[in-house]
Formats: sequence, structure tokens, C-alpha cells
Amino acid sequence: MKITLKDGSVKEYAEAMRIIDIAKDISEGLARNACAAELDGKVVDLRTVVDGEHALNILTFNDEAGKAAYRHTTSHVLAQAVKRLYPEAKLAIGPSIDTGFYYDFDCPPFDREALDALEKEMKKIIKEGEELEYFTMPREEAIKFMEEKEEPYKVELIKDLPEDSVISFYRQGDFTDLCAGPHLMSTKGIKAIKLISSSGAYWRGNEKNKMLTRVYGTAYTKNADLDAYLEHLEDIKKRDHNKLGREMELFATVDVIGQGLPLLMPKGAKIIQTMQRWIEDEEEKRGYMRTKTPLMAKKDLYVISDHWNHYKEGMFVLGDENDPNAEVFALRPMTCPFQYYVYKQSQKSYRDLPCRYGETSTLFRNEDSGEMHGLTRVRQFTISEGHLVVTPEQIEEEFYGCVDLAKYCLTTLGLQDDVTYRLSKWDPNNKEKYLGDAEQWDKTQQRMREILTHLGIDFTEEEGEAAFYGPKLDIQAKNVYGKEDTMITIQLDFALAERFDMFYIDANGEKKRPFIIHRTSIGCYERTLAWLIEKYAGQFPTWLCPEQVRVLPISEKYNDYAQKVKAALSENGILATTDERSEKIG
Amino acid sequence: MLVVGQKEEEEGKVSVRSRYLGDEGMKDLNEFIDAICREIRTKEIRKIEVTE
Repeated sequence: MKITLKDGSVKEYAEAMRIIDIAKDISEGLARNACAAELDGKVVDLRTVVDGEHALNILTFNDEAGKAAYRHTTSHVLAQAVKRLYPEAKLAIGPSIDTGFYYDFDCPPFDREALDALEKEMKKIIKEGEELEYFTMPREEAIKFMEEKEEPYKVELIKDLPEDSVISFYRQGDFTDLCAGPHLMSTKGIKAIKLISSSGAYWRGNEKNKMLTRVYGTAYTKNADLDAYLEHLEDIKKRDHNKLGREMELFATVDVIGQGLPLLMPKGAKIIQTMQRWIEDEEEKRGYMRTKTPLMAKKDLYVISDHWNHYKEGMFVLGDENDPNAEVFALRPMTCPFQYYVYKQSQKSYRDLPCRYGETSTLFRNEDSGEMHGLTRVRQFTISEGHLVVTPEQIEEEFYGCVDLAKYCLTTLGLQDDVTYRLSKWDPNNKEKYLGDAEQWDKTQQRMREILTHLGIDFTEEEGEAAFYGPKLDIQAKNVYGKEDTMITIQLDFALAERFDMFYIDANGEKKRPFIIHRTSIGCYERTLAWLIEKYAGQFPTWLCPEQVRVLPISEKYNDYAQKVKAALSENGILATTDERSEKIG
Repeated sequence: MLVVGQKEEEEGKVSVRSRYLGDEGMKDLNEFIDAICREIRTKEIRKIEVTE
């Protein structure tokens, strides 16, 4: 048996061996730190027996897959602790995740005290240092095994596995779990653990199923690393816009008004006003014409745009659709059709194009109350929206212009390094969701690809994220918890000009179809404010601050002078206040 | 933050404390106004050099 290691060195053995034993042969230290292995590029368990000729790489905590195995074993230790302290609890699924692991249990939720007790039990289990024993069972036996243990979720999982699957288990002392692995050799290698929180989660993510208790935790090889991570978590919580934004009195939500309908308070409203004025002026400099169009329209408009087909569940409909005599309206989820009618008010020639229309546009999208979150997931929001009506020859240049504007906005806000770029493509397996045919999609997507490459933009591609009328360039950002959302979007539309019969007269006097570019410049004001709150932990650059200077007289005697100073500042357009409480200033 | 007391009133100055540099000392009011107007107009993003 011959194996080639990552550094190119080769080891030969007379007979087949487990990977862990190969590791021991290489060095004791390596075997102690081994968490998993890569055999011919595939991640496998350390217990795997190797024979023949292979490439082998021993993975430790410093490798992604090694770290995942370390934390996965920790999740099993958690499950074992839960079964010891709460024998009635049923086990569901417990995988590792990028920040640690979680495990779902069918049992009442845990408070901090309960989590601490579980942590203590976990440390006990780790000290017991049981080895994890891997074994497989034929399907029928495995089902019976889990039924005898009264673990209905595990039974369901087994039944859902494909007929020819290997059904494996790992046993550590008094605890056995259905698992594909990989796992550490024993629990005693786990050094620093922490149970972070407990929340609810539906079995299989389906709200029709039972709500289980999900415990989140993490594990590290060194206590110092765990402490650093927990400190980072604390910092994150402090920056969470949903907490900080409310504390700073930038926004509030009121239950009786509804979820996802935040009130921008004076300070928050001021920041948005500052951004809005800046963006509107900037767009004007770049040749945009301003429009101000209705927030609602008759259903007929959305039938033409095909929103009625592709978007209805997301719209607030006003009036009874089923009453043939009623006029049915809907609040707008997008501004496109409105600006198209602005375009159509007069016949355009190729000399009039590109037509760049901009609007500070309030939109409405109906989503579940449960999905609503702070300023980032809301039902009513305002975006710096625009549509460019262009000739096919103008597409590249105008697209660059939109990207340039987006980059200018990001750089001014200091967010340029916090974003990633995604080419959002259609899902060719779901054609009914989109307008246009495969040829149009491929051609337009390729065009976008070329433009982005030409601009030197590093981008990923993702299927299924396109608009129903064309592919998008989505500029994505993550919130403090690592959740990604779209900040700014620029979209190539090859379909709607046709549906709205938009045209221009070309140099030969012939009617031609324009292309449309949909885009935002600063994105959604509410969401961008959320990112700014988290990026600056509330310490915005001065130009954005709702209060820029505060004048403090050290005693009443100087109130007049303080007022004079404030007046001078205000005259110069500086947002100033005075604080005349006669408290001692340190 | 602009702190004003006897000295500041007599000399037409302000004592500047910023979250960027901490105590910046006494400055002429007009100079301060010019500086902060420029900071606002250019949308400057300053680095915070001191901790609170």
C-alpha cells in the first residue's frame, strides 16, 4: 500500500491500514491533532482503511473540514449531555456550521441556566474521554435499532435515505447517534467549548412541522481562541443595527402599526434626508431626469408588465379581484412600468437616447411577518431607483455608467471593501418563472459577463437569482451576523420594452426596440442605513451625522456665548445644538 | 463637542473635543467652522484615533 502526502513525500506499507494509524506512524503529534482526512481529494473519516495507491492529507483543526469534524463531534457530545439530563428529549439533526455547530431536540427550550448545566455535563463527558466507535447496519436493522431507542426523527431520517445507502452510526460510551461522520477518534480531544444560545427551529424547516429546540454552540482547540470569538460575538451584538439603531433613536417599530414598517425618527430621518439630497444631486449631474410617479396602479398595469403573473404573492392588492365590477389596484413593488409611461409620453428618436430616469421611489412588498427584521427586511421601503432607456449600441457605456455611480456611492460611504459582486442568472430549469427564451438569456448573460470582466470586477455567478425580465449585477453585503443581502442592483432588461411597446426612431426612420437598464445607486435607504449603523457602530462620518456639533457652556454664565457659537455654526449649514445643563464637564 | 467658558468667550475661541482625536485644544471659531465645513462638504471619512 502506497500513499503520497501533501508535501509530496511517499510512504509505503506492507498491508492496508487505518488513516489514523498512518498518522501515528508519521508522528504522535499529528495523530493527536488529526480530525479528519482527505483521501484522493475526498474528505473521509480517520477510521477509513486505506489500501492500494492513494493521495492522503491529514486534516487538523486548521483545515476547514478538520474544524467541521471537531465541531461535529462536539455536537454529539451535546446530544449525549442532553440525553443524560433530559432522557425524554428526542434527537433530530446536529451538523457543524461555519461558526460552530447546532443540534435540534424535541424538548422544551433551554434557558441560560440549563445551557450552563449542559455545558458542565459536556465537560464531564469530554473528561470521560470515550472513543467514538463507528459501525454500520443494514437498513431494516437500523430502523429497528432507532425505534427501540425511541428516536422517531432518526427513524424518519433513515427511511429517507436512498435504498443503497450505507447506514452508519457512531457510539461513544452510553450514547449512539446515526451519523455519516467524519468524527474525531475520541471526545477527549475537545478542548474549549461554549453553548451560545437556544432558539426554535421547525423540523425540516417546515412550519407545518413541530417546533424543535435548537442549541447553538462552538468549539476551539484553545481557550484563548474561544474567548476571542466570544468577545467578537459581544461586539457584533452591540453593532446589530436592530439594537443600536433603536438605542440611538434612529428608528422604531410599533406593533399596532405593523411589523416591517419602521418609523424613521428625527435622527434617522435626517440621515436619510442627507443621503437622499446627495444622491438626487449626484444623479442630476450624471444626466438623470427626475420623475415622481404614483405608489399604486390598477391591476391592468401589472398585467402588462407581467408582475401579475410573476410577482402577485408579493404584492398588496386593493379591492376584490373576484368582483367583476370592482376596480382592483395594487401598491407598487417596482417602479419600472411607471417610468416607462413617462418615456412613452412623447415619441423618441435615437438622438433622445439614452433617457435616464431617476426616482426616489417608495415600494411595497408583502412578506411574512416572521421574516421582518429591523431596517433590512421591511414591507415598505424607499430606493434610489432608475431606469435607462438605451439603444443596443449604448448598453455597454450606460452599464459602465451605472457601475461607476454605484462604486462612487460605495466609496463615499466607505463601504467599497465590504461588498461582493454577483452575476445573477436565470434558472434554465424553471423557464416559466421568466420572460424570454434561452437564446436571449444566454446572450444577455454573456454580454454582462463581458462587461464585468472588462471592468476588472471580481464576481461570482449564481443561477436562479435573476429578475424575471433579465440578469442582474447584484452588489452584495453582509450584516454583522454574516447574513448576505443585496445592497445595489443593476439589471439588463431585454423583455419589458416589448411588453410596453416602447420604441425609438433610428437614423433610417425605422422603429426600433430599446434596451432597458434597471438600477439603484445607493440601493434601499433603509437597508443602507442599517449597514452604515453596523459598519460605523453608530459613529457615522460627520457629513451623515444628524447632529454634527454640540456646544457645551461650562456654566450658565456662558449660555449667551454658546448660543452665539451655535448660531454661527448653523449659519454655515452645520447641524449644531447646545447643551445648557449646568453639569460639570470632565 | 465644543466646550466654551471664560477663556473661550474672551478670546472668541472654542475648545474642541472630537471623537476622532480627543482633546484638540482651543481653536479660533472661524477656523473651526472652515475646517468642519470642508469635512462635511468633501464627505470625509476620518479615522478614530482615540478610544472613548
